[in-house]
Amino acid sequence: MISFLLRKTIYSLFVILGIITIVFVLFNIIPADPAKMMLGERDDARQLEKIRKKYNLDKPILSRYFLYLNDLSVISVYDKNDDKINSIDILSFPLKKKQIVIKKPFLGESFFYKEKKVLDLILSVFPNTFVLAFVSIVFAIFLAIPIGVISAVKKDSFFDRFFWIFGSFGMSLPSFFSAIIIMWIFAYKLNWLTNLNVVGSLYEVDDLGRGEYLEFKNIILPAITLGIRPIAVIINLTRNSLLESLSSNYVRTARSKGLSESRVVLIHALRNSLSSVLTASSGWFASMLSGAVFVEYIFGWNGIGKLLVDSINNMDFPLVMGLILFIGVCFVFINILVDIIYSWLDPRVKIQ
Amino acid sequence: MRLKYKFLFKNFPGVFLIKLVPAISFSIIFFYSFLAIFAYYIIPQNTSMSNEIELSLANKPPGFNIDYIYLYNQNIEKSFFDKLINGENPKYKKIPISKIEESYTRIYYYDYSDTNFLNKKKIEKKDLKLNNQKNYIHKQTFFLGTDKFGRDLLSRIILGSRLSLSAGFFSVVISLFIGLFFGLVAGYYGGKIDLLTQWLINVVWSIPTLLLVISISLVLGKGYWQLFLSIGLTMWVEVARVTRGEVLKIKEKTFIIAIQSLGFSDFRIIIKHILPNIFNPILIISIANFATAILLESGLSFLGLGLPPPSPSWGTIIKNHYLYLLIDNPFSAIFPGLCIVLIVISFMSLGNYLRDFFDVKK
Repeated sequence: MISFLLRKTIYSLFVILGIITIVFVLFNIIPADPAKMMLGERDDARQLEKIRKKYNLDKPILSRYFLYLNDLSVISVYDKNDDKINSIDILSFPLKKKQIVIKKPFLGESFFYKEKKVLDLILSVFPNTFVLAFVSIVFAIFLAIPIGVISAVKKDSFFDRFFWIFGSFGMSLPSFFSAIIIMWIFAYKLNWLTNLNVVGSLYEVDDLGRGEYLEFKNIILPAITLGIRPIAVIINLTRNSLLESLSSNYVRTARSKGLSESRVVLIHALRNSLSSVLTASSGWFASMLSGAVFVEYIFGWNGIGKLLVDSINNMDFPLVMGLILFIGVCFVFINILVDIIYSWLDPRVKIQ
Repeated sequence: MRLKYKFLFKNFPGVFLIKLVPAISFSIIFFYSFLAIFAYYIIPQNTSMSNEIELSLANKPPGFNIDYIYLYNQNIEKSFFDKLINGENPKYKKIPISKIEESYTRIYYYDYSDTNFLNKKKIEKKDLKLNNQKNYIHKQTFFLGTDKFGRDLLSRIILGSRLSLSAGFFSVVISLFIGLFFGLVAGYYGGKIDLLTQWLINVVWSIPTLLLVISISLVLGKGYWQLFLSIGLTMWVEVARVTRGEVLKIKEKTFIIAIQSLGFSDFRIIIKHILPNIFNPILIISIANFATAILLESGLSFLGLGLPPPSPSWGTIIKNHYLYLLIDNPFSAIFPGLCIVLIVISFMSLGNYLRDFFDVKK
């Protein structure tokens, strides 16, 4: 188990290095001058030079790459009087000329939100996205698995066909379109019934003295919208893998022992088919952390997706880079987690 | 497998007609392609990009009628292909009107925006330059209403199918070139090359598709080819993964080992013997990618990272109009959305049908 984990972790570190490299290369061949973008309209030669020096933009691309890696790494080396260090959490060990610093990864500073660190900006909105993704994946699992089981047991019935059609629609709906339609129907047309808001975030501010308070009902519509696609996928997966288990030998044995049908399906067959469902759901959870871009943008949910759209509109490249890196690393970590869960559910995987 | 192909091609449309779902999806795709190619011969507002902005006609509901006075027309005949690709030049100068009175030599009219009939305007009939055309009042119907700039929505939506379908087609071609190359090489040679390719696939896999498309399109800028490239450069991973898996399976077969022992070059073995045998799974993944590319293109356009205006695109139309849902003018956002859903669902069910038909496992 430990060697399995170790191998996975080392490989993931290489994948993360690849992500960093791709992001760095993409945003350093961008046909725009970052120094000019930082200054906006009021650029003059001396200020440009100052900014270039401060952000190492005057150095060749390869040394910039290593400086970027140094910024991102948890253990890093800096000059003794580098003013960057003052802005980072430090536990520093001074050497002769340089010092070794242990710190949080430094993703740079935002162009748009002046003097704010990218990591802090991301971490301040990440809980919102996490809550949204978590609620919607839980909602999807609890809705989709029973439907999938019934579809498999009553194969080719009206119920099965209906959810087959629902599934194919769910897969082909662009999430911005489903968000718009759901917003229109449930928050505007049926507002008298549902009393839901068109836009909203988890926290709302009341001017009448209550201050900032939690508004849980605002999560309902974004969570449903975000859940449509996973529901479609999980229904399909549960149905197919359950059908496969139901036709296998051990289920026939269980039936011939005279067990009740519900016990055969729910205890014997379903348990075996759940591992693939669980893997798929955690994969979806990972992609939801980023796939919420449209849903968050349309519902005004103050999360990572909205931050990304805003930073693209503001041309805030350090923030965009940071967000992509952050989401990529999240994805890698969740994949390690999925591998562990999977090897725990299905021990045959470890041998390969 | 070969037999199945013969069956498929000999009974080409027929085989799709046996089953209802693939028949419908195939006809929808055919219909969309027809509309996309002959768009300028079909749409009512057939000037270039149907970009006739008339702010007084903004946000009208479907089936809205209007009368125009044509002030002059120029007869600029375009060649068939020029019109097919770029549309007509604006021929007429036209004014939308709400009320008209005629005398023997003059026309009195009120502008459409002049709802209270305050400002009566007049034109001498002899000033109309209509190339001997008698009729100077023309009625136009906007079947799906107008968008927020007063342009005909139907024309814009039909023209939008061009971008979606070509985004699908070209990005699939790009993804095939890159993905087949990596997949074939990695699968066939194995070893370190395989390890490196798998690492690259894992890296690209870990960056969510939408984010990668967004960052590549930020780098490349706006334009047709930039859009296709940024989508194609993201989707090749899927192709490479499938190709690699299939090559690994086929490499073990005796006929490949036999050909290898004859001493043919690797290139020839890969192109002539391996590639035709993995055609089916690649066809299926490409059809699925086609649908994904259409979704990605509309998503990019929705975020404003697609083509610059006034190019018509479904995503852009939805972005421009979705807030009108909240003043009960839902059509301009719903129609393009339905177009996306319809074409994507057609590609997906066609892909599913072909997968069952060829019996390829996921």
